Amino acid sequence: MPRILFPEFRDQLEPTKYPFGETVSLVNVNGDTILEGSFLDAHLYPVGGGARMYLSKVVVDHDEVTFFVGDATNTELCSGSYDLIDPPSRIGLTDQYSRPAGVLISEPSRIALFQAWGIGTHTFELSQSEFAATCCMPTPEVGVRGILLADGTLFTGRTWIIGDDGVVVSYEEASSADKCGAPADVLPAIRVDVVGDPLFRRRLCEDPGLYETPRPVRLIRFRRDDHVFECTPNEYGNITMQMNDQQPNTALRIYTNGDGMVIEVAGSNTTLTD
Amino acid sequence: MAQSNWFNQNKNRSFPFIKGTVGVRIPESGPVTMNQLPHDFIADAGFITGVESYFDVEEHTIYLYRVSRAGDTVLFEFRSDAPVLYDYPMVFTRDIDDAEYSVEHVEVSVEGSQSSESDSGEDYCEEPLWSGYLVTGEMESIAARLADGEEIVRETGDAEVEPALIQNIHATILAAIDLANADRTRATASDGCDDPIWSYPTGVIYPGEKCVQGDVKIKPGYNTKLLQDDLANSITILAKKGQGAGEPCEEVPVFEGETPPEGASNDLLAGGLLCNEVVRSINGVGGPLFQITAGLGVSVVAEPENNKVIVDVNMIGLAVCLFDLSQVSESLSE
Repeated sequence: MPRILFPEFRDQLEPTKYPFGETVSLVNVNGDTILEGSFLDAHLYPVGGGARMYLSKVVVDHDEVTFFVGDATNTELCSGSYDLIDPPSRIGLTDQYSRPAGVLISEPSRIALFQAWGIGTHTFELSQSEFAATCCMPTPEVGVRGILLADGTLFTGRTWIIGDDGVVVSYEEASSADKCGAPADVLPAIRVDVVGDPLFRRRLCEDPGLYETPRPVRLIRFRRDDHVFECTPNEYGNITMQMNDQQPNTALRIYTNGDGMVIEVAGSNTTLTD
Repeated sequence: MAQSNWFNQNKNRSFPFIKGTVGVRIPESGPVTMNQLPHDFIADAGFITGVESYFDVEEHTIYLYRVSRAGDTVLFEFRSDAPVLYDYPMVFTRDIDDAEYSVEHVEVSVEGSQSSESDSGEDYCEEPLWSGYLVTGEMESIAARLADGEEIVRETGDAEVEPALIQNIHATILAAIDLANADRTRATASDGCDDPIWSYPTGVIYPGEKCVQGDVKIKPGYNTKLLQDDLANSITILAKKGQGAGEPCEEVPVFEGETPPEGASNDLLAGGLLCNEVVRSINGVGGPLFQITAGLGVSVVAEPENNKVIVDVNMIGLAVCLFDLSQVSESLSE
């Protein structure tokens, strides 16, 4: 029988347990067996993943199979699935926030064997399905990896922070605090100003088309004969109109009521005189 | 000379390429196509697709696109069909005299300083788009197959890199923060009047600082309070009157250089009018409707078409004695 001196990479590892470790059983307590060669290669790099990762769960559904990869602290570090109708040769793995976490390499005919396990969840332990160390890339959770909103949405990569609706964000350089006398570092700072929206009524009512720009009275022009006086409001928008209290014995009266102003002349009406 | 068994194996097989995409029916000597690329050209390779690469392991591939020679220099040009990476090939450079299994690491990023702009108009931070390493085989063999000035160019399906040699870190970390502000609500004119005109586009998002990276501080500005919960690993940003930097004495621009509309009567950035530019009340009685009531001895005549109100102190209805009526003021407003 001819011997291939330098077999191709996948051919060389196909009859081995790779990408699983040499010491694993590939059989779980229920007798579910991962056949050698089911996977041809793997590269695992979930954020927060440790050195020893394993195939923790295989969930077979009516229309898809999902593989879960875990470690000692989290059995669902990442997962990837394929459609039973169209098995792929590469299964991308993502974590709970849909971040890329690795890839499992196989072939459609090999990977399709998992559907024979029957519908349900098939769990494995570390000793049964640990991946080879060379396939695992520990990715510690250092630094800020994302911005997580209260509703669970995670922003990663290049993220925009946009001030809106009365909030303005800007960039500043700030000194680091708590340096115990050491020279302070200059840090990039995001400043958040809440300044409100002076035209909030317009903003709230414009979209439904309920807002109409008012035509405000900006000044009152008084004219007497050829004399014209223009009165603008004070800082509060108020104009004061009053009778001439410098003139003795004036009969003119100006006073306010709930709706506006009454102008009258003090005196008796003709009915009373009669 | 002791050599790595791993490399020795690889220079006799397709790895780091997928079997069948290189090394097919290699001629004994002379020029080769990419599909015939001899196994001993490349011994190993690995790639990391960057945070902004938009690489998808199920959809995209990395491949050797071209091997070219100019004099004693041989270039290995790798590309990806990920749209963002396609225009940024990764080129490894070798001299024809380089030793076997020479290693080179390359990072590919958009040239220039922070936030450079690419040909497509996109801008990128300093993060590499992708990076990788290449271990080449015997350069003598390459030189024998590739004459000076010649090149080997890929055809579809050739020289595809094993997908497990790619680490995709797209969107796995917070690469950078870009700042922007939405436009403020801007004043419009009432019917029949000309709308205010700004010397810049309005109704858009105004980009601010881009590529904010490193240890970023969040600073409370006007009316802002920050709550930091170390246990929950959370920061809550609250609107609180007078907190942070207090209350502003002037408007905060939504972008640097924001100005009021042209010809504005005030400094309001949104257009509009100041409190002292609108009659909101007369004698303390507010609008929007203000009623002038004619009392005894007075008549009020409205001329809406002229925006005029005539207040006539005509003494009608009053029992009057004869005296100089000029003492009674007559006012007219409009």
